[in-house]
Amino acid sequence: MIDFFTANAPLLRNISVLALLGYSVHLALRAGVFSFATIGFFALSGYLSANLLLAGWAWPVVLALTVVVGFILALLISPVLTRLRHLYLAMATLAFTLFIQSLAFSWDTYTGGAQGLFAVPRVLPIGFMLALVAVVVLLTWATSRGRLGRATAAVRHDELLSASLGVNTNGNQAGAFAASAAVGAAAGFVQVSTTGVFGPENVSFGMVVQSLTVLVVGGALYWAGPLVGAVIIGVLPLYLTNAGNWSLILQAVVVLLIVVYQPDGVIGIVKRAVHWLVRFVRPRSDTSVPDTDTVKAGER
Amino acid sequence: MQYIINGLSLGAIYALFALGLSISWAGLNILNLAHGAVFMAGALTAWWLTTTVPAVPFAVVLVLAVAVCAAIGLLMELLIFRRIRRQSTDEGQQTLATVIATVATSSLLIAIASQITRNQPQGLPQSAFVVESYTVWGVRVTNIQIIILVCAALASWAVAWFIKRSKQGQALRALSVDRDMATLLGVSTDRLSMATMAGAGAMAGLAGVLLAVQTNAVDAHMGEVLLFKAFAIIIIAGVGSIGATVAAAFALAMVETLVAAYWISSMRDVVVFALIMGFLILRPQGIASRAWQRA
Amino acid sequence: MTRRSAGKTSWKRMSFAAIGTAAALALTACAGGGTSEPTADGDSIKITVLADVTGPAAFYGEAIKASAEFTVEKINADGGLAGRTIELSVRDTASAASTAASLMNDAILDGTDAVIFGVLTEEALTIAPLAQEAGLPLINVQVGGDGVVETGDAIWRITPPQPNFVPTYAEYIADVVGAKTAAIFYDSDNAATVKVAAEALPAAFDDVGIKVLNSVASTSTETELTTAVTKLLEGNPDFIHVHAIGSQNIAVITQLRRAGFTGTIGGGTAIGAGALSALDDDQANGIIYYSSFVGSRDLPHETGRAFVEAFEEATGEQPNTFHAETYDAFGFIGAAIEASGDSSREGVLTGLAKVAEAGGFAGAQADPITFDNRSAVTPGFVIEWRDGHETLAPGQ
Repeated sequence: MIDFFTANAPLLRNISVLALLGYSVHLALRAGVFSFATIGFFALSGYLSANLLLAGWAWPVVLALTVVVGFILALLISPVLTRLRHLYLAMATLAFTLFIQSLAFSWDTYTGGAQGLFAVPRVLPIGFMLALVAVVVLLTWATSRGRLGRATAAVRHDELLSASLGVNTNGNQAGAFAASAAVGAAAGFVQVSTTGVFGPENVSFGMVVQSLTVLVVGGALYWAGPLVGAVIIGVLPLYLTNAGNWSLILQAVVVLLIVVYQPDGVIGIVKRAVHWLVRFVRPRSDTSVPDTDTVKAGER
Repeated sequence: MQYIINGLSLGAIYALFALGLSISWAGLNILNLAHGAVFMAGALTAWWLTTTVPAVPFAVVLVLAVAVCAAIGLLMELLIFRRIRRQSTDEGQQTLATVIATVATSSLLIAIASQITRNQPQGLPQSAFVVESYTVWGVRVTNIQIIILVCAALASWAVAWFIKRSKQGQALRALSVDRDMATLLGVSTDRLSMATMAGAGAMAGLAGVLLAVQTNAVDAHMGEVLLFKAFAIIIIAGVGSIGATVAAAFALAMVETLVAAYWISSMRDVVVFALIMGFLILRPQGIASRAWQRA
Repeated sequence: MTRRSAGKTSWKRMSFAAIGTAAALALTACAGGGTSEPTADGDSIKITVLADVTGPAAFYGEAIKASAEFTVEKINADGGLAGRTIELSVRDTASAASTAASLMNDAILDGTDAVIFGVLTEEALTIAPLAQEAGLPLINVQVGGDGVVETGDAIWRITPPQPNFVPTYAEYIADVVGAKTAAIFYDSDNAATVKVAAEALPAAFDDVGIKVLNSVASTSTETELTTAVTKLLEGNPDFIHVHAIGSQNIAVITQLRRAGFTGTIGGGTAIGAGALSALDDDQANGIIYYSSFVGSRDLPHETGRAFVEAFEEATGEQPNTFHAETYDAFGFIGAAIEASGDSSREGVLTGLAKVAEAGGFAGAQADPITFDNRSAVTPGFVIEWRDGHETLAPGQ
């Protein structure tokens, strides 16, 4: 078992970071908040963690600090969110992320400029890293059920209607955005404390695309979506490593096909497959229609 | 004074590019992140034509590149956007799916372009379009700059006419005000989408060829940066407003030119993104908010 | 939620979860595992080449791959590296640090004796600590940034840092080109270009008495270059140095020529290795730049000339800097084995240090290639682009 971990340590690290990024976007999205600010918080936390770890701080303290900073910062920004809808929110959060990237280039005393920061002590044990991911997954699953889960889904579907039913839409969305930022910050910490490097290439539009891809490939609204997506996206390049430029083309095609033809992602595909299997095995007892996007509390 | 001419021709390219993006966002609610890749495809087609086929007249190159890009826009509508429209259950999910689909399309186009250019920057052979400069009152103007300005002027006028006067333009405006009502009244989203995406693609392709000739740099990633500048322009101007978009395009180009000329070029990005965020926070409908686009 | 539907749900969910977990484990096991071959014995040596064959750095990665394959074929045909056959494995790092880390991990676990890597610094910074911890010698090609070789004694660089060549370059411009004034263009968001064009070059120009009229900075994504060009031409400099990334170089050079600039244009290594072939001859002829190697038959050292001849015969192409540096990486490993007598990981490690201490070795870039703090040092050459290929600039 231990052998499996050492043999695949870099891969597991990459998958962990991708999963955390995916969950960060997921937490915001399932409350109807189109936030692409994940990578912005990822970057803030990454540079902060790098500077603190280089200065010799203990890693549990750094982790706690960056998560809390991300959470609070997001809460401070969230009043702005309530005023913007969908595409405009997406644009604003995208601009936020790119603004952070341009800062990363200019503010080189803290960010190392174009070269970035390196030789950061790689102090996070693999066990803790996986535990952190597991905790995030569990919390996501837990909050997707029961009253909170239903309220969140309701806000996503129709803000006005939910508000009229007494759901605290602003609070719900603010909480979702803050949680998203906290998980994004955790991802930044993990990236730095496992690879020892952090630079502008971690804050690019390409990273935004990656976090979205992870989410969508897995299944955007399923609690297990980002995990599945992270495994697939983390592993895919290693399979295609000898295909040359065709591997990039192939990856883009795969994502495109999933988004357009299977918007429920891989989990949606698997669900349909299992469903079909179940009907095959027990033909008469199953009469329900395959899931659409409509809310089925407790089933996601 | 030289800087003003430089700024004007750059602004014209920005305007051509931003108009297509603005229309698709306003009318069809599509945040087309692949617009930059289509722009690049135009430049790439021009490069491929001029380096593979000797002595092609420039007009042919221009027409072909524009046609290719219009076709790409059309294909995106037929294969991607239409499919997403059919199967999405609510606006939020449709928007998300569209954004991600355009991002994936952009990655695909860029990956194909990287394969074709062998990941090396390319240039157009000088014989493709002979650039001549004229010196007027001590200021150097090239013939390509004049062509760019003319094209941009024609395109903006054409788009403005289309939106204001033609039936389809009115239908587009109706769609953006109230989608459901408009469809009930018989507006065909499908046909309009085809025309809009093809038109937007064509303009992006035109901008791509013209910029390729002016700067002589063809590269798989050349559209990305332009995309974000176009967003800045559209948001500042107000999505869907033709006149304001063109004005904002020129304004941004002038600001960039002057910042590069008299200050530090490296602060340019910081300024652009701060502007976008600022406007979205303070005045999301832009400077010239039109009744036919709600924020 | 009724009890019945809850039951159906959990059946489906369990099976789905089971499939999911199984698939995930299977995927990671398959992709991550890597080949497990026995450690090389005295007759052979296992060398892994990690290169950015795809992605933005693909042009350089492809050159490294091509050169590695040529070199190994030649060496094995000539009797092996210090008598050992080379088992070569080339993997694509796709210009991504995460891929590079996984592939380096594979190399550590499958008995590789030495790794050669090129080109991006951000990947090198990620894999160097891994190699150092495992005691696996890592020889870097290009990798211009700071902090890589400083990681530890297993990390070497076969490409001299660019600022090394700047004094020779500046002297050539002052003496042979005869320039008295110059202007510089560079990208401020790239560490390597800033080190050379913003720091080393102005200082070197100062030393040889060339006055810098204008130093114009830009970002690597800037399309508005007409302003920069106008500024560069102010005061009519004799010489303009263009040190940008990718397509910007082509764009600036074209516009300079269009604006009627007839002086000499120079650049950094980014315009080498054939990037100038995107330009027409009358725009590109006469452009000079520097590097540790040029694929010319007129090189002063025999080992260089021999390499050029062999490469051209085998591939039909003129070798560029990246080809030569990769070739030298193998040569370095060979010299190391001879010095230590042992081709295992530890043997190569001690051997590299011995070679460096003893004054270096003879390679394609120079004779000898010496080392300073595990980074190669070579005299370097000024290169002139003429009629579609690189030549040794006259007058050196």
